[in-house]
Amino acid sequence: MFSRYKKTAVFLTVLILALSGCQSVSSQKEPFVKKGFYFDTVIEIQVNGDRSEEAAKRCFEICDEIEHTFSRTRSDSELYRVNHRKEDRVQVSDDLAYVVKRGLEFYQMSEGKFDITIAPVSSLWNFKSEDPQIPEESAIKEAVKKVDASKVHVQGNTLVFDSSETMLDLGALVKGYAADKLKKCLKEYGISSAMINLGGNVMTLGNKPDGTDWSVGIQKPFSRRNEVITTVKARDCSVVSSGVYERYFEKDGVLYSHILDASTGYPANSDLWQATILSDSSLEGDGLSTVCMLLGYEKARELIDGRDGTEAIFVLDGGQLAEN
Amino acid sequence: MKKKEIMLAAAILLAALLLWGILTLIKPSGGDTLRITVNNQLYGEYSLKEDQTIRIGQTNICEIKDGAVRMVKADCPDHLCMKSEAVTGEGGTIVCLPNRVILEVISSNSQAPDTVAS
Repeated sequence: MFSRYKKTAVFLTVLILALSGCQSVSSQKEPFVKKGFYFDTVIEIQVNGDRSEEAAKRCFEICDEIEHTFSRTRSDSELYRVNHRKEDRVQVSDDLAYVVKRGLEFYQMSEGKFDITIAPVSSLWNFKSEDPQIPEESAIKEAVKKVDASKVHVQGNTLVFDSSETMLDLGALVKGYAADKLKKCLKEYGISSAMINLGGNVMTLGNKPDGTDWSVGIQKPFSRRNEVITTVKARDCSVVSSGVYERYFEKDGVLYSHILDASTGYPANSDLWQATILSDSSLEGDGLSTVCMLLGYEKARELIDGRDGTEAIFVLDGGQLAEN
Repeated sequence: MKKKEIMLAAAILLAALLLWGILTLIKPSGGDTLRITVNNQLYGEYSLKEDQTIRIGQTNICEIKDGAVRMVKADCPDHLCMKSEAVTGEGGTIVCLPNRVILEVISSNSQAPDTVAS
């Protein structure tokens, strides 16, 4: 008699839990989600599995370290020390040497339009201002003279500069580099499922906890936030978009986007609204997406076609979707 | 004994119903939710169904109107958050970086992707 009574009680307790939607009846652990402010944007990391919290915390420490290395404006950063050097040769960390080296590769493949020494030009353009202005033509011409990535050389951990005026700006590559480092860190913690979003730069690790692929939406240019033009399945994949709609202003019917062409000092005059790169490395995706925007559709397609394991999704000016 | 058993069953069922009722009430009434965080701390959650104006500390004010969220006031210098497009049930965020305020719409739409590259 007593055992039957107990059985009923157990059955009903389970019923209560089920009815109240209590998490303990579900076997799936909630993912650990953490947001933070780095790289002048909001970042979000979603980590699943054991040690997820520990791993995510370490990721945020890494972001802090990367910011301390690559910030152009922080006077305590390594890049600041490089830009305010007294000698032509500067010893730098592995991180900085590597990103500069990769930056010079993008310079080569972009016909000099993507240039990590663009700082003198980009400081003339203020896309965040309430009332943005087109800089004086003479000022731009003067600034463009100081921009030349061919005057920077990487020799092991030494940066060699041919000109004392050359200043580095690695802002276009930092988020990509960070995403790669975070993914590596998560793997070291034994994590097999995670999603990283660094201000729109997406990197996935493995699958979702339920075994399906992560789905990553691609922002539709000039539309409401999170309105997507298409969605891609992304397993262990970096998805990085670059587009004219991110930061821009209009003057006399002309759109001035934040994607600056180092060879002219003016915003890219291209037939693309957006370029999205799917690749293993996010540093690669970060660089290539901007290079594509600068090259325009035809040349961008050729560039991506020639690279194994890299795919691109383009949005032409006017809003038409095109894949490579 | 049999009667006691039935009584117990009834009591437990009632408790379950009550608990379920309370949890449903606490959760924003279905649909999309606006989650506000300040400096990584949860400030509050609001249903997009109800038009309202929300004062966020001393620094920002946001507004829910016709299912869309926008920042209507901010004391930051650049006002980028106020210029940001309204966020709707499709999900998305508006960020006031200087004040570390995040307005995030949690979409109830299961078709929505896990994240968006932009």
